[in-house]
Amino acid sequence: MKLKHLLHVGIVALLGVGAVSARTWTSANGKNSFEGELKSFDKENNTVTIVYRNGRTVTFGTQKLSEADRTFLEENGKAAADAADPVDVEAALKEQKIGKPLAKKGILSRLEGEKFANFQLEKAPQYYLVYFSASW
Amino acid sequence: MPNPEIALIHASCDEVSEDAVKWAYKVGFTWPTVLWPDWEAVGLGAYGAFAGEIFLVDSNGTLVAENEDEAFARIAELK
Repeated sequence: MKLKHLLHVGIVALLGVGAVSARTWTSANGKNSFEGELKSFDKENNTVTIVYRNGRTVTFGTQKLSEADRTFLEENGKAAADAADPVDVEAALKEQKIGKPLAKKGILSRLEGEKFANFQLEKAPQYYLVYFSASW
Repeated sequence: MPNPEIALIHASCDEVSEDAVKWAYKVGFTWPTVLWPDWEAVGLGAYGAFAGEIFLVDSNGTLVAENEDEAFARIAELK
């Protein structure tokens, strides 16, 4: 149950390591939908970058999304666009006992497709929720 | 809305990274991951070491909660 709890709470409500939120996105014609986290929104060029649940990142024009999704982007996309300055984040992490070693290149990875890819924290969180897992 | 003050870190106890990635893919676990033995090298082994363990620690390394119930109760307070 712990894993389910983590997946559910984590995706729905927990944290900001780059993504603003996970939601179900719907196509403009209403026929297709998928789950993903908003990574960034470029209002000027009307493009959105979303991280699928399998870790794959895609960027496409907002005209492909439903009106409700476009409204969501207007209301919530600024937070994604205002992502913290990477230089400031790096400096802040270096001040942390926990963040400093995690910020070292090659320590953190994240599932992208079927592989782990290097990952860097995009914010310097105040707390770390650590979950130990094993495949066995 | 997500809480930007908390990062979920997944520490894999698998000794073979391929096992860890297969598991993460199977369950759709896309959170930032520290593989073994890196999580020992970065100090996370001081708080836990067994699969299924969950703890909440602040950025200074102070243990805030040492099990799932305590951790999520604390997180609820932070929202």
